Amino acid sequence: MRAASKQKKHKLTKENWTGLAFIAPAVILLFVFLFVPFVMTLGYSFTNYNILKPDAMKFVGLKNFIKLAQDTVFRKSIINTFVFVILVVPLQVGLGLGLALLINKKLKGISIFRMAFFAPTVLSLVVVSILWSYIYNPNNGLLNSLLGSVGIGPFKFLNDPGTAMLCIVILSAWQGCGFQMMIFLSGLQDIPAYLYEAAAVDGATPFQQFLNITLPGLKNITTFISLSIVVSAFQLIVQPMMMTGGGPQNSTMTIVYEIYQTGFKYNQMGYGSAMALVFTVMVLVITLIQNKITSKSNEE
Amino acid sequence: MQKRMSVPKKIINYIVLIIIALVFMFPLIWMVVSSFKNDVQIFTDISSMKAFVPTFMEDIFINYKQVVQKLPLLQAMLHSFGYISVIILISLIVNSMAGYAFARLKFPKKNLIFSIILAVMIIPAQTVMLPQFSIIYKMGFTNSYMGLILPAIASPMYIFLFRQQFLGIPESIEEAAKLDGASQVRIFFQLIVPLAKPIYATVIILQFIALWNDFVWPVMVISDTSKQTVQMALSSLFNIKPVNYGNVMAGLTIVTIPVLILFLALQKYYVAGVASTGAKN
Repeated sequence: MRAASKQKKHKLTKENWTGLAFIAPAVILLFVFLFVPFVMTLGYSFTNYNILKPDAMKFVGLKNFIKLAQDTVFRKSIINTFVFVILVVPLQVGLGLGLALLINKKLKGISIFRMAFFAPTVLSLVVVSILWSYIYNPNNGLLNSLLGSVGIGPFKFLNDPGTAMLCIVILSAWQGCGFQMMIFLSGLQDIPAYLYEAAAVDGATPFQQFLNITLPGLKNITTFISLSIVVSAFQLIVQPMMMTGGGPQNSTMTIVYEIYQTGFKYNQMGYGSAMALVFTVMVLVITLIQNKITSKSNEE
Repeated sequence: MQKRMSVPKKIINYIVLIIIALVFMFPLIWMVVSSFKNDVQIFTDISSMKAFVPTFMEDIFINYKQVVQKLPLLQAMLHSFGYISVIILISLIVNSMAGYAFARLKFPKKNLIFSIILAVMIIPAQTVMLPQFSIIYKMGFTNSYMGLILPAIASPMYIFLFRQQFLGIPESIEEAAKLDGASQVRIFFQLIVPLAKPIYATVIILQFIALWNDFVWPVMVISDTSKQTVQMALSSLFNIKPVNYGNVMAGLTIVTIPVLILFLALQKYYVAGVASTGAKN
């Protein structure tokens, strides 16, 4: 049968047909709902397409991109997104590693703690955003009330352009770090036990063991984890959408939120697609850098 | 870490773990505890540790009763459960068949097609949401569950997960069946699928949690209040003024229960999924 498929190119064997039939539904769906839209993003970004006025669609050349370069809100949303990524990555990696070290112990019932730390990751961002809005509420929220009882505050949290993004960073890291904890945990368990035993025999303190065995052993995993958080953090939208509407003073406006507002809320599909294209290029560049770094660290 | 711990050391470990777990879980504890209080009680307790201690009203579940009366939350949960079940059922068949073909069957341009599918995996969903919406709009599927179902079925990541799993099954098993004259289709459905049950469980839970929690796409597709998905209903609860904290907390808790149950039941597979999607790069 294997030889048959090579004999004549135009004649397909039964196995060939089965194979094609098996992939057909998935390939057709991916083509229609992922590949075509991807190409349409390219096309739309050079038009003034408005979904409610399809007949008025015109090719406008680079007009959308020229407008983008002068769009102060979009520029702000790029800066905000980068600020979010730069703050959330170390915090989330740190929390994930800390929790993994904490529960990497042979104790009865440890799996209950592991589940407790992992639980926030199954919550929806809508649930988390509503819950933390009440925690951050400047008037009678949980955090200001508790801090006030020991004489700290009050803070304006989400209502202050200086702290609003930081508040979103904290809840996002809290919600997501359980994932990283799980991956770190499997990394910790892959470090051979004899390394620690040998170090203990040589009189190394637990802290020295951590610096010289644990951290080097987790290097590749840390790189991988950090980069995967970068890509997902770039797509921040639900938290500002639910909690701040992008405010105050656009301080929590993000790229994806801006794409949604422009293309969907204001029906400017053409302009929104131009934003999406810029965003795609940014994500692709980051993914390429990511692949470079990961393949480098794999070679070592 | 590796050797047995002494009893005092164990106790210290437990105390540290419990304190950190409580601090980490404070938002969730506050959510559940407050769902059993009325607003007067919530705000009397809020500035002390009492905020985390339950006090039960005469009618324990009054917030829960009120929230499902105020809002078609249960109806929205049923809708979500329905359309998500359809997606998962079709997705398991479509993605696992593709994964099997890429793992085992021979057909022209197989490697090329597979590389394209892997490359497509890095396109963030958000970059295609506008044209995806315009396709759904042109197909006439806005405000219909078809608009939620169709784009969610095929997934490069699940195809990849299935393929990895099928590659791990020894080929000798299929060779024997082939000699007996079984067709490829029969071999797949009767022999391979039962052997690969864990990966099906993993995809079920990954996809269920992702879709149950999905918000932006349903907001774009569904405009009719009577067709709202669970997260949409929840977000409208957030916007009802005046805010009744106890009611909202009960709503948040209700919506979280199904994912929590599924998570607890299929934990092992969920963690495996997290680990293997993490291992792919």
